Amino acid sequence: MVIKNHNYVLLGLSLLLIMVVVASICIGAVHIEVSQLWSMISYHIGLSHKPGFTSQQFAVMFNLRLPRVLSGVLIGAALAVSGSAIQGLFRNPLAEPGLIGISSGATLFAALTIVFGGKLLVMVGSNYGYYLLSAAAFAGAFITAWAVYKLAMHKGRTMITALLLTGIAINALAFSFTGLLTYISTDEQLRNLTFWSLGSLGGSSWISIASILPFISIPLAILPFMGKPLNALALGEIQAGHMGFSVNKIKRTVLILATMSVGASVAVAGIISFVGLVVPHIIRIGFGADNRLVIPGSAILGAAMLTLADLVSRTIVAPAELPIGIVTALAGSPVFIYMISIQIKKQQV
Amino acid sequence: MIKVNNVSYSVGKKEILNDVSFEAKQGEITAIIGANGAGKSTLLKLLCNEMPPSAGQVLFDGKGLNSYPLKELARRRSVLTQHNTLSLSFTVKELVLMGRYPHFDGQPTEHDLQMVIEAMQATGITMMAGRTYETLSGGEQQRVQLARVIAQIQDIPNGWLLLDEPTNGLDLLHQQQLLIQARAMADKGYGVICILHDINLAAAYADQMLILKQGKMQALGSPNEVINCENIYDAFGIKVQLIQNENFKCPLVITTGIINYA
Repeated sequence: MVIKNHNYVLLGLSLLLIMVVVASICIGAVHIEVSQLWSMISYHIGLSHKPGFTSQQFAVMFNLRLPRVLSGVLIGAALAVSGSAIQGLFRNPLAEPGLIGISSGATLFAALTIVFGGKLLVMVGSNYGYYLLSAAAFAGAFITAWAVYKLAMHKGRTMITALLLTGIAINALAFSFTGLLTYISTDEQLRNLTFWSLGSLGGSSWISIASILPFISIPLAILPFMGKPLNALALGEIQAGHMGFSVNKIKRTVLILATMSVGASVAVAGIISFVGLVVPHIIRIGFGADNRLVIPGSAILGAAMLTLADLVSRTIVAPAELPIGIVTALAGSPVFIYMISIQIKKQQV
Repeated sequence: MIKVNNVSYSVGKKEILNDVSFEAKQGEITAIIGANGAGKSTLLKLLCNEMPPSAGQVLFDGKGLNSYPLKELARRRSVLTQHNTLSLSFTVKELVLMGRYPHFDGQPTEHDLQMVIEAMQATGITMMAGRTYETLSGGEQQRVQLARVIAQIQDIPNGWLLLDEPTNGLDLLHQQQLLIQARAMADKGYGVICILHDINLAAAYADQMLILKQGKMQALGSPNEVINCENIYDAFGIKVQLIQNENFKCPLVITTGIINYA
């Protein structure tokens, strides 16, 4: 039956995620065997008293790899889950936080905070600084999402041209403002700004994870339950109302939660595009459009995909590192073009 | 019972409905007919609480429509609107299951799935269950939407079915089947309110007919009371003849010529 299928799919995706996580922890400049990873776990939870690993390996695993992999998991899940929810809200599979300007809005606010936050943010690396950045990015993401929604929705229908054009306009605006900020920023601030526009998990630390955890875990916990209302919304706003859903409540909840997680992701990792577009699309192609599966499935697959992309970005040109945004865009753009061509065939653009 | 008391609705200065009053009972089909722009769809929107009337009130089973929480209303009445588009490609079965959304949290129960199966059987779409909605023809899509709406109230014995031109896009056979289905549900105790364009179809199955003309009530009563040449001419501006046929309880209406285009 349908229900069981959903659970099998989620289980399969979870196994994939676990495999990717283990691989990402083990592969790198300092190599760690899977058996050594297991030994580290069993040693530290007291199952075994003989460490089968070097202290250097453990330091790399705990201080570098693990926070980075966890960041990839959290941010990948956040981007994909908000992408799928926003697509449900806009009723269009092309709506993606990066494309429609939500990430840029978040970046702009984060940049403003870095440059003008001045004394508030003496140390961006401090916990407090990250929280402030996340909050600012959330505000930027929310304001943009709200504006885009107002501009692109007409009589309950998304005008996809208006949606994408608004995205282009907002992206350009945010880009130029961020560019302006580079002229008045100090060297230290400039480094931070550059990092934002490229997107990277390189800055991951336990502190950054702690600061985005609340912003990401709340949407991750609630958005999967929006599958039903978002399915109903696919029939139309009026129809969803007839089925007992408060359309305004759905819109509010999805907009706030999705922009919260996008904002937090942007605050610590910059703009990582296409994850929110490609991941839900893969789930829809593979297992159908039911949002009750697409949203949780996207969360898990998004986590796996971004962790994998990060593994590629830090190993493919080792010892140097590619910005992860390049990897996701390389993989994502062709999928995006393919999706547009499908929509043109259906004459829905 | 749905009771409409002196309901009017206007947008700006334009009056779309003017002082409409009638009662629709469970166990009956109430058909609303009238020319294009007579206010039929607006009336149905008021009945399903899509918007409030400018004046007057709609009582749903004794209480004002507004006093019902959205969920409760959805469990007692379902609505088939005129234009149904779908933005994501769901399968037929998933779409019909959406009709059960007001009834379950999280996962559908066995009972919900059984209701889906029955609604698909009732509308003859069982063999399309696994296909995606967008691959269906217009008439098939309409039947899938109807199955969704039926699934929503299938297990509510005195529930309501509000249908806005449900025969749109259906072929002759399926038009008849739809009305037979509606009739069977009314006989089981459901209330059915239905906007129809085909006067003969409406007269053959309805217990009560309401003719609207420019937002006002032109006639209200049983098909035999309402269907006559004068009423039809007034409401539609077209001359008709009535023909008795032993297979129909109400005379058949056939057009004889366009007299008044205005």
